[in-house]
Amino acid sequence: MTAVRARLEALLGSEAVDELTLGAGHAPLPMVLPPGEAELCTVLELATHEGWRVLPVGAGSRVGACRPPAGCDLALSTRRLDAIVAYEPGDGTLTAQAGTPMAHVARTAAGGGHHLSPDVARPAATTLGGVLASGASGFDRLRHGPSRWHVLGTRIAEADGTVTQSGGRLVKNVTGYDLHRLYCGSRGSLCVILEASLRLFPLPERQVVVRAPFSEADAGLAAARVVAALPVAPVAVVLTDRPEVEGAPWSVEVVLGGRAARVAWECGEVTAALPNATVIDDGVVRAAFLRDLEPDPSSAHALRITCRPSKAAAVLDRARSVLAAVGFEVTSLLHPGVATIAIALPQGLEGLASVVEELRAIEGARVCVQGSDLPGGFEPLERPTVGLDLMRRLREALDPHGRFAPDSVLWG
Amino acid sequence: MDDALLGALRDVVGDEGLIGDAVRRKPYECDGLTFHKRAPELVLLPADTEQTVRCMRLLSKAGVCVVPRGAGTGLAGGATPLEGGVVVGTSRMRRVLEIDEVDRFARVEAGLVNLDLSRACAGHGLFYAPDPSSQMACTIGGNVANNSGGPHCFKYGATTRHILGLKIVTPEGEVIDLSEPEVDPLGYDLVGLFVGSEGMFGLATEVTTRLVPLPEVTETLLAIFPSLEACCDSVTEIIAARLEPSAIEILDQMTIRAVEASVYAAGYPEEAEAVLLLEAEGSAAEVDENVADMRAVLARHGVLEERRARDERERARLWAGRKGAFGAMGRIAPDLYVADVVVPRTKLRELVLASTEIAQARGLRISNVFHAGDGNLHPNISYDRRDPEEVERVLDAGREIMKLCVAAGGSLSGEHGIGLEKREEMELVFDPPSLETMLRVRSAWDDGGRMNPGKLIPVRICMELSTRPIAAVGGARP
Repeated sequence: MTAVRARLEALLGSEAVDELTLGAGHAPLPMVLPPGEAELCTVLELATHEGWRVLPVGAGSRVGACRPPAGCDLALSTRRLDAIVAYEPGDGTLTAQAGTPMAHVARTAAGGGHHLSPDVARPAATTLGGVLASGASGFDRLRHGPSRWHVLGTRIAEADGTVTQSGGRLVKNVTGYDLHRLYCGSRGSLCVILEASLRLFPLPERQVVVRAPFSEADAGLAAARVVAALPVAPVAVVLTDRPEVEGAPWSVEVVLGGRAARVAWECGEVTAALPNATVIDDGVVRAAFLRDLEPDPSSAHALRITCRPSKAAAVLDRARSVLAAVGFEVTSLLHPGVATIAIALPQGLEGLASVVEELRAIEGARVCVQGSDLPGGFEPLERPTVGLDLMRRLREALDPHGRFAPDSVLWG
Repeated sequence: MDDALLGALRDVVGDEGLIGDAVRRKPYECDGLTFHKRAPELVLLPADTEQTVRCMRLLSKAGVCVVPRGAGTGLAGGATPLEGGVVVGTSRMRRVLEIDEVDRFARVEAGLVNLDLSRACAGHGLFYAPDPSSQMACTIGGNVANNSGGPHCFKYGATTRHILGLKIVTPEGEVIDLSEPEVDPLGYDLVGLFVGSEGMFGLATEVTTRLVPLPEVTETLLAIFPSLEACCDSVTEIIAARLEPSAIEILDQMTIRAVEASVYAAGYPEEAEAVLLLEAEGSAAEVDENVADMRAVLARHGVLEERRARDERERARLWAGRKGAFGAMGRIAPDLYVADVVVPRTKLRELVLASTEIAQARGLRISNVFHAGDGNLHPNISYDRRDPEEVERVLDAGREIMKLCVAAGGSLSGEHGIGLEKREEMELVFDPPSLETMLRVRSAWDDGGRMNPGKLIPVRICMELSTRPIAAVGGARP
């Protein structure tokens, strides 16, 4: 037993301490799971006193989303902070503790007729705080936008255990700086998110999926562009070549949701615009299936490429040829409307570092590599080239003694 | 101001970009909040980013405070040069630099007037959604600084959801070019953090905005109510029923009468106690369904009459009345205090009535015109600034309304910002540690505290933090 683990067990009991596996080449970290905010802050106070470096995590499902930072002494999980603090159906807002699984938040909202955005893949294994801290967005991003837009306010624990808040629980509010925008996507390098308030959306009265088969990706992308030009607002537009999709090598799938009249009209517009389209009436099940096609970084390596929507075809084409050159036949999941391409990779793909370098040379493409046990030689996330000094000053402002695990993208 | 500095600044912006004489500086002594005034030592109007950079470097070297200014339409004193210094205005930076109709964004200079952006992209079937009532005058850069709202933010969200990128000039005169419309931020979300920072982090010279498609069908409905209470209750039910109008605005009787007596006359019935202006957008079928559902709610709350705008002209007229309402109040008294508070949408009725009681108990004339769908109240108090005693009563009523709303789960500002007006009331919402964190974040952007000093953060917090001993911490890391 490490000295750190012993101290944590002495502080909160052995049942509050576990181990976080970080993958090959990394020693597991003692992981403390405080039962409440007060205990979590006590751990941070102790870490500050002892000079320990802390890796904040939720359920740990996204630890593999990029290479784990080195030099941490412990992981601090919010998993046991899992209460719905307030759900106000009449106001369309919800506040939950950071460790609440996204599936639980979504179910609570649905109970009052609301939809939770982001609609993330594998929601039972993902926590609210983890999603926000990682900067992840949902399958429904085309309709509702990125996750950071829906956060109305947060309560956080700073490095020394001080609890502070920003924003609030109101759908419109400009009181004070939007510090929660800074915390979203900060990957645990600034604070531990304790609680977040979200704006909710009406639960769709009806949801359908319009699917059209294509023999080539280019034709599918052209069709997606046609859909983008229609006066409709899909929940998602997906182009996929995953073998689970039947009937053709590629399919464009347009998820429509909302009031029944709206869905009926949009369905007509989309069906008329897509050749050989069929309508799947059970859109909820189909949409969840499509959502969960997103590669799971805890079980496989994956590329996530983003670009402007107008460049998606060229970027995909170039990415396919780069990967084909190293003998990898691409299967991918594309969201053309938000220009996100997810490509599952085999573990141990030869020459991944040079592939990443070539992909990053594609004009307008941002390339992120996800997965545990990533080989060396490249940064999994693209390093910002603008505002880096300011970002470092912001980190010093929030965590002056560097107690939180630094994100290797910014500080490596 | 030092002659050498003045000369160097004149060399950068030319005579057309420098206002030095006292008479021409006077309009810059405050914004729409006229309680506090102080003329700046100088006004600079750089023509582009490059001139802004050179000015900021000179001002930084001289240690001069900078107050950024758009059109000066703010209502919280955010553009008031309370501590003197130099006002740097964006009014000569008005170009539309790029409109991309495929990827649906525009890149514009910060001084572009809000409405001019929507006009510029209308030919592409797109528009810029945030529409403050002052959109004919306010600038995109000012909207960014205040995270401005507007009636259609009910559907589309406030400014922060529409800003994809910024070109920021720092207090030291460096450029942080984040104007590329990234899908997600690389590193921290500096753009999201900058929006709503009230000119205290730097000065945005270029803004990349999201554009949204013009709706296929827009239906505007005026619902006439026998009481303000019933009008509020109908909004609460529309929200609770998760109906999806694009805008929900309430005007009370005093507002209606002021509007109808003004050049903004919209045909609102003067005998009505309140009217509700509703809009629905989308496909014809969707709009019909939404309007039918909303009408059912209105009927349950005793609506007297509903009028549907028959064409674009009628629609524009109804909105001109709403957006001209603040100006029309000039008929009631020479001055208007526009309160801006936000409350849970389940408590509209009780807080509108309680705010009215607060003003009336102080012998003040209060009217209400507000973004009901967002819970964003604007209790407007008409007064005469030449009467110091009345001014005191107005300020007292404003503070009481803020306290009332915060106590009910609301907050200080829905869209105007904190500025000078609500700076000390920030302690009603945030505890000292939270305010200290804001101050530290501000210092990361502007260590010298020269950008728009004296705004947003209570003076007591600023003083306490600067005198606090540094806490002992554990083992240093290599």
